[in-house]
Amino acid sequence: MEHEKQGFVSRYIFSFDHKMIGKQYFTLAMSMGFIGGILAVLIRLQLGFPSQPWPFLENLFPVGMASGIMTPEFYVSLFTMHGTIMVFFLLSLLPVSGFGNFLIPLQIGARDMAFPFLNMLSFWTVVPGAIIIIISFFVEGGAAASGWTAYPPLSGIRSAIPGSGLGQTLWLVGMIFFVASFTMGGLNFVVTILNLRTKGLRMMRMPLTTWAQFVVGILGLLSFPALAAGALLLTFDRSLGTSFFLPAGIFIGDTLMPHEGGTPLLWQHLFWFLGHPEVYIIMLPAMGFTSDILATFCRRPIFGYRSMVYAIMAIGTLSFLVWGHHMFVSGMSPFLGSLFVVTTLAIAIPSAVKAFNWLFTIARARIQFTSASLFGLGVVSLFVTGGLTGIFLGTNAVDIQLHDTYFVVGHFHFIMAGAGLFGAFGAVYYWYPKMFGRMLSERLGKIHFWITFVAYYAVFFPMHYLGVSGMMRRIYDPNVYEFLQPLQPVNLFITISAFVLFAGQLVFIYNYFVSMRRGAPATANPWNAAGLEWSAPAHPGHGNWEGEIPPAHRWPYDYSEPGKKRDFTPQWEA
Amino acid sequence: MSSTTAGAAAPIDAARTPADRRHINRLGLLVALGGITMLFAAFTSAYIVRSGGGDWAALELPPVLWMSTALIVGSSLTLELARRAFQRGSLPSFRSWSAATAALGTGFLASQYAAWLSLNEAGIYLQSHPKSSFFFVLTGVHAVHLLAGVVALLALFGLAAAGRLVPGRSDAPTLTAIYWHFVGGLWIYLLAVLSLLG
Amino acid sequence: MADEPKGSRGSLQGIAMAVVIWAIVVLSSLYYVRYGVPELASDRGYLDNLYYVILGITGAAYILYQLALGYVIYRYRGDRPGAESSYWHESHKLELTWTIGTAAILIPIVFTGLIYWDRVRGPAPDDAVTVMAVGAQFQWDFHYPGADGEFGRFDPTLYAIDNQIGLDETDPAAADDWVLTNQLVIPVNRPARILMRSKDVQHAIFLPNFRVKQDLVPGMTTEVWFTPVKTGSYEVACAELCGLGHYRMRAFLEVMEESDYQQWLSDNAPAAVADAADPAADPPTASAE
Repeated sequence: MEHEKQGFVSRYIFSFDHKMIGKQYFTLAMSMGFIGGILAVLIRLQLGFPSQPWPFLENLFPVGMASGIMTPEFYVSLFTMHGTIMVFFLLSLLPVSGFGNFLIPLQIGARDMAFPFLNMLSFWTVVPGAIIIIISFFVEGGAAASGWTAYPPLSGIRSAIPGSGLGQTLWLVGMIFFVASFTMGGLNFVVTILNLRTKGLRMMRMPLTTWAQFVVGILGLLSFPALAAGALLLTFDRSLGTSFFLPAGIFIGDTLMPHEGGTPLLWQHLFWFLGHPEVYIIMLPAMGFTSDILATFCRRPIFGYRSMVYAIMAIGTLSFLVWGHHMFVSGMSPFLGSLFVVTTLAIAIPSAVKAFNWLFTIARARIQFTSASLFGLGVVSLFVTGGLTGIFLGTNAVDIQLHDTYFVVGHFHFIMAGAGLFGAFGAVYYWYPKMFGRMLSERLGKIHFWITFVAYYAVFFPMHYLGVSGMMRRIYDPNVYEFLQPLQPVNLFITISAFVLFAGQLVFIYNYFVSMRRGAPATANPWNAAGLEWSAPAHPGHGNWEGEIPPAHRWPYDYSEPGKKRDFTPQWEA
Repeated sequence: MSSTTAGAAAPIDAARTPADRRHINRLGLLVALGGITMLFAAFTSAYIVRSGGGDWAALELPPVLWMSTALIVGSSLTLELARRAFQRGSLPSFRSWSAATAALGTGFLASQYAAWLSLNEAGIYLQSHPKSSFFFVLTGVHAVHLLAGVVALLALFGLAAAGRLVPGRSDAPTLTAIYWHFVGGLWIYLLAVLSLLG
Repeated sequence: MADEPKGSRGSLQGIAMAVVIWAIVVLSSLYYVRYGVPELASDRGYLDNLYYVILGITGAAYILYQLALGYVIYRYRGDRPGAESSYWHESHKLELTWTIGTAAILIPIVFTGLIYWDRVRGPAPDDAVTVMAVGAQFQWDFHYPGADGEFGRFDPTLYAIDNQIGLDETDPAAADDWVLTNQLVIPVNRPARILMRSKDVQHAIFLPNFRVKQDLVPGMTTEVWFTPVKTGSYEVACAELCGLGHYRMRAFLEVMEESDYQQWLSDNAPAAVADAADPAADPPTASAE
């Protein structure tokens, strides 16, 4: 065993191997996701049973749940950190940093990423960011409490809410670490894909997963600097008395603030200039995974490969031109609002192309139902559900009523969180054999899928009912409003479903960690898949291929080609 | 697993040839410069939006900035001479020109610091008014990027001293020069923004 | 195909997936229609109409797509007799159809939306009743300009317990101004124009029954106008996270017949005029009546 020669530290901690770095991201992202899930459960606990005492929780959260009743400021911190952790530290880290690093070299036939040292650095830059974010729960005033969007003045003035003290500072510092790490990663993705493709692998022969990661790398590089700039300016406003975002005349807690002339809307522009591409940074890899998984398990080429690639590019480009649709009722010029409607609804076109291509991939197929393919089918279903509700929100006239209601919460939990998460799950089930040389338990995988799929709809579809009925998001107790009181049964139903959804994820975590040691040994290509990554050994070592890197003779989707003996022709076969 | 081909302790260079590696490094640098460009684009758009505010006030730029500009332009010239010397294979000439560059770069930073001090003496601080805030932020973030360039130059010295800079093979001087010229150009751009816009 | 992944061809999974998707479509749609939009009390019914049009189109797309998805999963499950998959993977005609089809459906939605948006965001009619909403953690103050129709100047240095909106009483226009806390009263069938500003952080005024929502942004004045068409008392909510008391930043909107409104004005507003030195003192009594 050669690896006994290397130290534990160089192998598992400061590894240069893209696969190990990918797995490090998996561990980090899953840990953060677990914490984000607990926060979600606590949020639902309050909404399902408003202000009911849970004495045992006082031991865990002596301040936030003093005498077992959740305080409003703790509730605000909970959803702020739930959003932050899930969007950045789970849904960006797992599919992009995790799978991007793990898969890109394997799928394009490279021995590693273009810049292995930068890759390691990128991981070890995000770790302190994650730690800072978690620590912020335990500081004076609690974690940040201005929403994951951190709109000033709420986020800019320390006395505006307890979480806007040290908690918000740590949030900003954590985000700057995240941005630094993510842009390094994006750089690596772009350069690797442009330069290190094996012989014969033209761009238009790349798997859609790699195409998605390529566009994601560009999006990250171009959009995250805007957040870095915003976070820096906000830090100055908070700590050094500048007035970038804070206007004159702010009066909080009997004190008139010294700021002059800043514009809160400027933050919104900077934030959403990142924020909207970020949504597609989460979505695009899931679309790629789904395409690869569906092709393999439908035993059929992906339908409309070219239009899929163009759709990815179109979505990536348009994602920079739509940020204003988060600001229809913000006080932004109504004319600008109208422009953003046009660009926003234009995104629906490439999205529809993807949905139809998937449907036609499944049609005329011979579907094998594995955990991976079930999750892939789940993505298709969630993506369409969430995409369609986007049409309501993208139409500014209709958005007036639905903006900042649970309709929005339902919408993005389907399209971004849901499709992103299901895509990541599918990808784990699909590529796990290559990651650990062992198979995940299919039985547990299917249990996990069924709980997750049904519970996901049960949690998030009824949120549209709440939103249509007018329930605002981010409120601690909807029963304060008479018109929301009849909705309590819906909230209770969602809460119970959310508990089930969370419990279902424990099955996955168990499966993931136990199968590393106990799973059935995997062969190099357990799914009879055609992609280049399956030409590598079952558990590839550093450098991925022992001998020559196989060239690519074809695209990765040659399944059921007429006249062939087998129902797939690997990409590396002439 | 028996398939392990090498220890993970050392990075594997995925580039197939030195020419590949050179190309990759240059592309990586250009892409990184794209990210930095977006950072300053974000600052610029914030600057433009904020300059529409009622409390925007003009700021007399300290004249010492012209010295900064001369220093940074000069440093780009010396670094270009250093790079060409390196390509000719003349290491001593390379060393002296790049030392001159590092000195000019440090001089630029000192000159920028002098600009800050002269503003402070005039009673203008970061939080005085929006334009002064932007002045300090933009020059500060730019100085950090130039400092990174100085560090890169020092690393070049280290490589040269260790005999690991080989003319015709090492591309580090060119990479440093590209970055340095970019940061210099960025300064001209920022100066234009600060003196022409608002 | 000797080496299929173990258990992957069981018919159960495919049939179950189809049935579950169909069940979700049926249940989610049936329940959707049970939760309607809040009762409409303004002239913005056309927004509701557009909402229903989009609901019809997207609802149909949702149902058809998911039913089709369930169907192809059921129909093409791997264990059906004689299962074969097709290599067919491109059809420019089909791809063009759904690209153009989607655009064709979206374009009328976009344009109708933009026309309605202009109507909603256009300038308020001259006969509108104008009120200034002042948002603060965590209360609403509604500043009435009084008989002169002009708002008195405000000055942030004057914010105080008894001057919640920081009214500058030295301004002649402020003499007849008065303030209601957490209560807004407007006449029916006359356009109401709400200007708004915030004392501290961002808020958003949300009138669920009137299809009105607008952010309050510190440092700027935003506005919205609408025409109430039904009398009654309605809830006003804050829809933008504004702090720990965001959830209880509630007010009431009272819509009165024009005659009642005039009566109410003469009962309440003059008291404030008489006591101009303390413009904020009376409104709580007014709201109690």
